[in-house]
Amino acid sequence: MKMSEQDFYLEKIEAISGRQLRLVVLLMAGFLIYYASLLFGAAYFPNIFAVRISGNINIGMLFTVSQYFMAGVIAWIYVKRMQSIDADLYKLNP
Amino acid sequence: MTLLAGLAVLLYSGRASAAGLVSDQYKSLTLMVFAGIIALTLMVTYFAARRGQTIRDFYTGGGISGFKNGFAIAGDYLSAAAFLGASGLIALYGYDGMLYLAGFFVAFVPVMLLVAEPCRNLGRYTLGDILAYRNSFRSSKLVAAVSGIFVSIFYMVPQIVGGAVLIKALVGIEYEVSVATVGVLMLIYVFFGGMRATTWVQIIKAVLLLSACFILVLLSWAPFGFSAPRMLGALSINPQFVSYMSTLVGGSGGDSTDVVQRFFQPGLYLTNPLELMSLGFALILGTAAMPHILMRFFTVPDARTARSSVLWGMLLIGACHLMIFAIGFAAAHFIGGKQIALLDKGGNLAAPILAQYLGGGAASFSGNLMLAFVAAISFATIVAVVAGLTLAAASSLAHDIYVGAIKNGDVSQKGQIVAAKIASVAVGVIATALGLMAKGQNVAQLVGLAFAVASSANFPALLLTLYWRRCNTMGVIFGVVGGTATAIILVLVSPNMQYPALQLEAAQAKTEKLRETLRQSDNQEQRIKVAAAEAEVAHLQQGSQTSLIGLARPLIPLKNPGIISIPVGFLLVVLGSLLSRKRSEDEVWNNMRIRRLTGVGRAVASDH
Repeated sequence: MKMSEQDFYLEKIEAISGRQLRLVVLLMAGFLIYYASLLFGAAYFPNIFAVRISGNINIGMLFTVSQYFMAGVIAWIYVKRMQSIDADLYKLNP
Repeated sequence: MTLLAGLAVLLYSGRASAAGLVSDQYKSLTLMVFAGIIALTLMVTYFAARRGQTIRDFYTGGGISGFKNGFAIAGDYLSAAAFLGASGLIALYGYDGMLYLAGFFVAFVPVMLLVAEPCRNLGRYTLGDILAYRNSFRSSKLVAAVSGIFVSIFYMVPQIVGGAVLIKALVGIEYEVSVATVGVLMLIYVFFGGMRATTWVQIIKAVLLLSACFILVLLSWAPFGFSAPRMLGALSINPQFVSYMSTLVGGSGGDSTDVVQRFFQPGLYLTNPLELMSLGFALILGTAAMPHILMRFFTVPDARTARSSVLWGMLLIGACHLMIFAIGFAAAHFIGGKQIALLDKGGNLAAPILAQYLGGGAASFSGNLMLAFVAAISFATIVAVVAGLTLAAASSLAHDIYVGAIKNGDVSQKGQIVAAKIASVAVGVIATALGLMAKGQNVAQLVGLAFAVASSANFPALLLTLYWRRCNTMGVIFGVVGGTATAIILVLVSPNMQYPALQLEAAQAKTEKLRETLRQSDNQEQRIKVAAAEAEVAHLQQGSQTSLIGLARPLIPLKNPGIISIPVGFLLVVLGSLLSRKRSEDEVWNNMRIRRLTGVGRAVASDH
């Protein structure tokens, strides 16, 4: 019957939508924590940032450059997970 | 074409005064390089215009690939503030410059996660389309458009003003001529070529900018084998650098190693912690709601392509930023903060001077050729960003306000095209006029204001419309109007404004100090300084004693209101939504979620 087919479809979509939202919320949270700690650290813990690692390069500089790679990691995770979500969506809507 | 170019060179060489970084004998060389790049962009516009346009072509240019759009995003986003400004900040202040630039890059993570794909699936040309999806059509469009136009103009004017100032310093072309040229070019691209031309101009600019950065890094870091410890080590024992640092940091203690180390630590430029956090959050949330960024997601055929274009864009922007870090430190080493600050207080000329030096110095042909390229690329950078912003503002004006709010969507194809073109001219003229009027003003804080409004007004409304069922028209109106008003009001009572009473106090203190020095060592030079300071005090005492809106001193210590206005923006959307009883019906909400996720039923873009 058409009604239950629609409900079935909606249920599936909601499940996938839920997965996608969870993924996005988790990645956003991770990103915010990582970036906020950069801001917090630079603002309130400059003495930790000043600790030297190699020559003149200190924790602060490494942490800042790492933000670029963090974004790359988050992007990579997002793309990988979305590939499986997209595959499931395609099964529903070919 | 060549005749026109030749005429243009003659016209501009006449206007180029003696001032400017480029040695006089190489002025025409510089202008020829400028002309070459501009000619390239005009050619592209010509071909774009020839392909004919539907209104869809004008606004979206069509279904381009993720790779091309990634370059266009990079070209749209990397401004002169990033290339010239940030490299200058790093050259002058070290670590804080890196911190400042990083915020601009990581801002793309929320774009990728929250905004790129839903926008492509739900919208057609503008942010207004998305906000209107399940809210009242006319109100959402009106409100989104007005806010979007504000943001675009706040972001555009500093680009034009800053750009003209830099061009004058680099090549000696008068301020007004630069502003007029930027205005005319940007209008040509947008009016004749629409999104297609704008996209290609941005791609060309991105390629040029990345190449320039690459060459600068290659030349400046090769002597150090591209090893950061070696390069920074050389920097820290560079006598000119050490003396610059002792002047900068003053006698505030420590032996010379400590003083030098301060360069690599936070605190030389971004001195207020709260300010830093405020700016950081305004950047990461505001970028996701910037009209010219969002606009780029409507130019691709589907959400998958929108996603890959953000990824490509991030790769290119990230690479460019890391190169800018390298350029900044190289400039600190080879040129030195003192020299850079002398030429431009904000450090904006660091990269061009480095280019000239690496090419062989101020007297050489290759040095000035390098400088000419960097100057021309900076100019192209400004024009590309301004063109994107103009198109975004024009689409808000024409598509959201005229076609949407006023005519309720009922306008013919032809009517829409006419509206779009008129809107582009209007925005272009206004922006150019403001650029001319703002000569001599410090407009840099307008950029902060643009991000503040985008993050406090547009972003909360966008995010909550997409993901919160209870969000409704009232919420969007409260949020956008309230957020914009909050941001603007907070800026008006902030230290960004001019406070004559405070300036007077500062001038009086300075005079006292100079008088003290005079008492200790009476000489002609000192007397002149004291006289000048006293004259300044007298002058200040005569003028108005309050800021533009009547305050003696700022009410809040923050220059960027982000940390206050962003939460306020979110609260207002929530409040407005809850106050109005309206709640999206099941069907509408489900349809939106399905379309947001799957893209079924989305608007189509044609090929560029």
